[in-house]
Amino acid sequence: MVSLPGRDSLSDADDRTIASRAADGDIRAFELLMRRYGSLLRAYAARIVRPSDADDVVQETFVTAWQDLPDLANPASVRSWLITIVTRKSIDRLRAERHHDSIDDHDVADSAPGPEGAASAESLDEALSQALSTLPEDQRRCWVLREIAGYGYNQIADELDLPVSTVRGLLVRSRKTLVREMEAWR
Amino acid sequence: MNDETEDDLPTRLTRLLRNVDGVHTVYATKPLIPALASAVVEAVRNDPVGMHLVSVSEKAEGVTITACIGISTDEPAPIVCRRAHDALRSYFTDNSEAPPTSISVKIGRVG
Amino acid sequence: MNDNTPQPSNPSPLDDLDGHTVEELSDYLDRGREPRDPAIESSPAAQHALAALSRLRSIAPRVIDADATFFAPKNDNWISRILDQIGVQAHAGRDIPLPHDVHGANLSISEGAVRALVREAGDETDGLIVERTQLDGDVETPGAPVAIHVVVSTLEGAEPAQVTAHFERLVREAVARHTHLSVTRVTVRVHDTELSDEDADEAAE
Repeated sequence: MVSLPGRDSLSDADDRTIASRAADGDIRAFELLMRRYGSLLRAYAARIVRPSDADDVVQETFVTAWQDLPDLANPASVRSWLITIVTRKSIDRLRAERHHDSIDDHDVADSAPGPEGAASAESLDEALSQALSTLPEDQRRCWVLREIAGYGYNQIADELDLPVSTVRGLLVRSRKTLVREMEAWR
Repeated sequence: MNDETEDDLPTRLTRLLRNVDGVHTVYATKPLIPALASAVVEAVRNDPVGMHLVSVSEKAEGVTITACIGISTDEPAPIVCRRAHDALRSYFTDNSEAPPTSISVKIGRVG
Repeated sequence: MNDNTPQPSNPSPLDDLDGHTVEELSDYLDRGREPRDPAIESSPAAQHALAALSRLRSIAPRVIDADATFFAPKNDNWISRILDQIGVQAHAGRDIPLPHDVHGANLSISEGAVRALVREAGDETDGLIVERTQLDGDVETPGAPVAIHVVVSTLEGAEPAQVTAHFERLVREAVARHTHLSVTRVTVRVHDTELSDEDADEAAE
């Protein structure tokens, strides 16, 4: 699609303005939202589903977002609203997988997603991002759902089909590892 | 009804519309949105070039064509829309076929 | 317990918990340290661990932002392809007829496309951003009176009256060029007059 005049001025606008316009049916405003938050949502999804599934999850997230945007009460909070949707979609994907294939066919690339192995961290955030990649998948999922999505223990247990006690145990282990990494970086 | 001919015509008409001056996109006419979001993703992943973007339905009273297009801002929409319509109609008359009983062309986007 | 995770020998504030557990301390933190637990509050080791857990929690949202740079999509074809298909259909609205003197011809422009023209007129107007658009009236009947309502924000430093007058003229021109609607009225309501560059920067963070 051609680059139209005015795109630049709109791309400088705040979330509220852009989300309002997207809700009004403006495809270019929606495109800006996709560009602004596509990587973030992809990173987030890749912490819950297999990274190879993250693209699909993010695309579904945006299709749903486009449909539901007119109902978003506070357009300024579009970022956290998108994270809510991508969390839902990621969990749906995990559930669908549990139903469809019982075979564990993770390939090597999937077991170490994210910036692990990249050049050494330049910030604490990055160091933790790398540490998160080294966590076993189930620990990582629980931690992201608890600390970033803000889910409760019961909700996580429910969504991941795990006993609450297991979720608690996974969270303890993930926190131990991440705290150690965090302290080591200082 | 032969599947192959039915499959071919919409694809040919889609290609034809893409070559009409001022038309930059041919959109799907069958609703994607009411379907699951995952179906849309599926449709996008499978190159939409192969999809039936232009709808052709054959009824007792004749053929009906439905298309939805995006056009550039260079010319007024009514002019490009008529041009697109005429191109679709000529496809039939040029091949000495009876013109469709109805040709619907909707502009979904300007610019 | 930690079989899958490499165990570097870095000391951690969670190594010595003075008889408490990580789970207990996390729950205590979750409750906002209420009700006050003297056993925890009086233990330096537990305090140390609580501080670390609390710091981890405050960093958590930033971790995904740090991730995002590593997960930047390889290409953005998928964006335009999704847009191509969803955008046009989802908010197409009503069909606005375009006349054509050929039997069986049924030409139209979607309401969504016309509203997009209104928004783009705003993009061509300096100092203003269109937020909402609406076509009021029986747009499906040729010749019926139609009003266009628009909600805009003007940017800091712009003179709202001047900007909206210019915008209104562009709207009328664009709609007259691409449709046969008989537009009787264009109303422009200003929602925010002080949209600043800082607001935009904040959003981009």
